[in-house]
Amino acid sequence: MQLSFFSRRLGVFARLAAGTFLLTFAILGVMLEASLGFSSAQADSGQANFSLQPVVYDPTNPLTESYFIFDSKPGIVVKSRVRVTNTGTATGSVSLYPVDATTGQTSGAVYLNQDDPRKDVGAWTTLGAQQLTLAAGQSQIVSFQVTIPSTVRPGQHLGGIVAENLAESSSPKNNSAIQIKVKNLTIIAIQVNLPGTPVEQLAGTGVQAGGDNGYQRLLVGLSNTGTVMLKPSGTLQVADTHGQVVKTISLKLDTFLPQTAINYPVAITGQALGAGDYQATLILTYGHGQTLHYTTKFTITKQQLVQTFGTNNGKTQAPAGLGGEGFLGLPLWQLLIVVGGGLAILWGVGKTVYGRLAVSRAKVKSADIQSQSSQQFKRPDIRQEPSGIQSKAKRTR
Amino acid sequence: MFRHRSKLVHVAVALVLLVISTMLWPSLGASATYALPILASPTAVCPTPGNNACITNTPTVGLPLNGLDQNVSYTLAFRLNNATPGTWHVTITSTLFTAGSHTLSSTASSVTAVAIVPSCTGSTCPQNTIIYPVAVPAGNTAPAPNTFYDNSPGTQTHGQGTFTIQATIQVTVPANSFTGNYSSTVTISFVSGSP
Repeated sequence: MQLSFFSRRLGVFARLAAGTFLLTFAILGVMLEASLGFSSAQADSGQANFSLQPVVYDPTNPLTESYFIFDSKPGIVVKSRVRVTNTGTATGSVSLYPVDATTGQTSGAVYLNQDDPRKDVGAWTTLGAQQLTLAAGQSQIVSFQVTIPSTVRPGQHLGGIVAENLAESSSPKNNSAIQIKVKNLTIIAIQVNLPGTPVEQLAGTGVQAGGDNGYQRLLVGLSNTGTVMLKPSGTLQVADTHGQVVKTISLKLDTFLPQTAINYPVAITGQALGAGDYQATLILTYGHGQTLHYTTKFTITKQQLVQTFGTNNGKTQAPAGLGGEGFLGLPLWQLLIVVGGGLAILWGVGKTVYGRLAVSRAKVKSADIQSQSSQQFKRPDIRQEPSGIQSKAKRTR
Repeated sequence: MFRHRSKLVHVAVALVLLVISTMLWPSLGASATYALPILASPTAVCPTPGNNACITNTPTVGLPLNGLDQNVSYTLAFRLNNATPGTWHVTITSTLFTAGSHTLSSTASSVTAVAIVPSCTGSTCPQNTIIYPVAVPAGNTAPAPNTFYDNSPGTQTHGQGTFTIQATIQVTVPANSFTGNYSSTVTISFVSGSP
């Protein structure tokens, strides 16, 4: 008895449709199984990892244990050494290169990429080796020199030496929508102090409204036009058109390098600022008793609010948590269609099977009935006797 | 009569199957999984003494596209060792999330929280001064990084030792994003000692 959905009762059209659906479902099932659950490449127990440390340091200045500080003059070549250690558990290769430093947008010294142009300490520094291969626990001392130009701005200059692990971690290849590769760098700073009257000077360059993903921010433009590093702190006050102070925000910035500028993001907490005109008053103290007083106007537009908060108005929102839609990632309406289609298949298959069973039983029953009928109506082979003898046979029974 | 009705039923079922298949085909290009945070328990024996940090997981995240703006988070875990006194900080930058010719916004990612696991108490714990969220810079080439964790101002003892740190990074995926597997290279830099 053939119990296949692809019965001869279905036309070619129906068979193709059923086949397409089953194929789609099969592919979807494979993809679901492949991508469900965690997907993460755990760090191998054996991997290389690199650290940088000065070989010698000034015992009177503990900071020199952590990074290089050179008090020098223009036109001088400063020579020193850095210890590169593979602190991991496997042999690995590391790339070494010098870079310039700059001020990060959220303040603090950050270090530029290998491909970025070098104009300051990064350009002055030459390493004795560009690439090393070290066994686990092995160290190697690399010499380097800093050639200070004859003509150069006085004050503080900052760069660094980067140790880039040439093994890049990658997430496993699967059907996940977002995959991350991670590069791990270790950087040691090189600070060069050149003689000259230190200039401590900070300037405000503007305030702009901004923000996204539910976080409203004011971008405060700042520029260190002096010759030394600064760590400003103070307050930002925001007043509306009536002069009423609507926000007072404390600020504390990290290292701000000389001859750099940033748009420092100030987060608006609590009730967000609505659309309109405002006045910002920035008061920052820095250096040796220096103070910046900066006042400027800015405008928040409705379009900016929409960009920050979407169609919701209101206070700054926390980031949305994790979320998925429906079961197995399918929206409800798609799920209903899939379930409905499955039920339709079952109904069709069941109907076909039942029909065949019914036909089969009917045939069997019919065969039984015919068999019984043939037995009931079967007569013995009796020859025709003369009438007198038959009558006598009947009487004797 | 019964035979004709049966055929009509079968054709109707076939039509339903075709419609379902047509609706399901677009979702084959996207990952039909529930968005999950990815966190691997640190298993690497790292770091060892010396100023360095090592990453202990490489996360991936699945995200079904449903026609709405969505936020998805992943956790970046790393171990950090600092043996010398003074300030240090950890910076982050990245390349754009890219799937073929399609990219997410340069402002798609931000660090929303950083925690030491297990939580740290005592005079050796880092004094983190960073306020979150911190934008993760992104570009065709990784731009200048942002500091997302630090030990500043550091005293003689604060920030010395080994710490397991977990950073939560949120990625905003707009409703009109193209389906695909988006990949980004995130660069973490441990600056051991810096003014």
